[in-house]
Amino acid sequence: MSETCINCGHSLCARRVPIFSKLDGKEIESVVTLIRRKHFDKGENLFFEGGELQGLIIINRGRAKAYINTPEGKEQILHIFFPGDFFGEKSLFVDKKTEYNVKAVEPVDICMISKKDFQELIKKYPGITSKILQELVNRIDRLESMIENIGAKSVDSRINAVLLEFAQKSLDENQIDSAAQFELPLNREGIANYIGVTRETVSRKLNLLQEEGVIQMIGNKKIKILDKNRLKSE
Amino acid sequence: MSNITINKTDALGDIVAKFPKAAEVLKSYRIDFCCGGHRSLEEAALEKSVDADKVVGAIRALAQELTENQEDFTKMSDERLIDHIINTHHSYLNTNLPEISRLASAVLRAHGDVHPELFEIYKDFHALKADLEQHLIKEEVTLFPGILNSRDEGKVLEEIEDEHEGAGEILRNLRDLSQDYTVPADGCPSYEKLYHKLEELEGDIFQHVHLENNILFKRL
Repeated sequence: MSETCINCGHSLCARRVPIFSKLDGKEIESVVTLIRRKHFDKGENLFFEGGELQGLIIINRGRAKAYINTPEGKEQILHIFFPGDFFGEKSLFVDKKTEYNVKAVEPVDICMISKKDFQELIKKYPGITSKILQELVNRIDRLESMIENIGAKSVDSRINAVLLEFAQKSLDENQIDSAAQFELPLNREGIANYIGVTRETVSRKLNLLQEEGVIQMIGNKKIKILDKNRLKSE
Repeated sequence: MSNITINKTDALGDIVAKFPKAAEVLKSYRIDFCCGGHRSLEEAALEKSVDADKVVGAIRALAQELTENQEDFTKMSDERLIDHIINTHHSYLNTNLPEISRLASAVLRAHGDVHPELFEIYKDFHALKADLEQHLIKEEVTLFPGILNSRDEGKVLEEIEDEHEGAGEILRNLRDLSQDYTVPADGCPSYEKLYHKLEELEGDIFQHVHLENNILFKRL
């Protein structure tokens, strides 16, 4: 089996997933046998709000956005999922409808573990449960800080925070400190929807940050953070 | 595009006829819009215990992305619509059914031992293939010429619609068996290709049946 898996292009997805990182080689092997995978083209929806989720979904390649449509027909982005991110965790424990839409913003490969298989798995390896709890807490933190961003923080600090968030998702700390370049996962409009400001404001603030030497834009999508501390301070 | 009016009480078939992209949304909720196209969205959502307002919201959002130059099938003449069905959907099936059949045999031979559901998938697909092959010819030699010459083909029409339902049933079954066309960890690239093709086939058949049941046949 492993030979086919090595040839499969995105093999052994489980190794990339933080919640499985504490498992030993043999345990990982048994997780891998449960994994099913699927490809989505750019712009395809993985699923829509209010539908049924079959299990835990792990992004293995590419980025996807979670969003809801407001009654006015506007799109509110809730999360950007990067490779290694997962969702559907709630549906593994309780019967729940999906709470948001998820769309591939670039070609996406997912790995999936079905609810039924997963429940067998955590019976065998209870350690996985606490790892999932850790990630859930992180996610609540992020949502809370988003509410705080929208409610209390100034427009400046919202933009600063979102740039740091994207940097931390794309790079490790050393790379951030050495001002490595990374790609913004959303365009100006998308960033604006994500943090609840207008597109014009995003463009204006990015230009301002660039003039002040805090960031450097390379083309439309790539960016370097030159002065991390000034993004943090406001 | 600002005048997007979709109501829960609209028939599914009419919604897809007006906003072809709605098909994507409905498929994702596993709501059948081709054979069950006469039902209202509200009714169908209730059946799947989905909140109808969410479905309407998702369709509305996608409909906004509609490009201007999308073809409006509802405005096509019978003749042009039939041409479109034959050139697009019949030709798709004539090319792809044999190809999928070859793939299915190869994948079954390589993986059937470890993934016995592949035997079911093989059988279901070939039942669908056999049925579709005669179905396409029936449309081309009997039903379509009948429609164009205003002959009453009531009995054939009924048969055709029954066959659409049969195909829908098999496609639902295939989706369940393949767990939404997700490939198991040890699946090879051919396995992936087979599932990808089967899902594409599902989309093509849904659209094909939709054009007939909800647009062409409704004119008769």
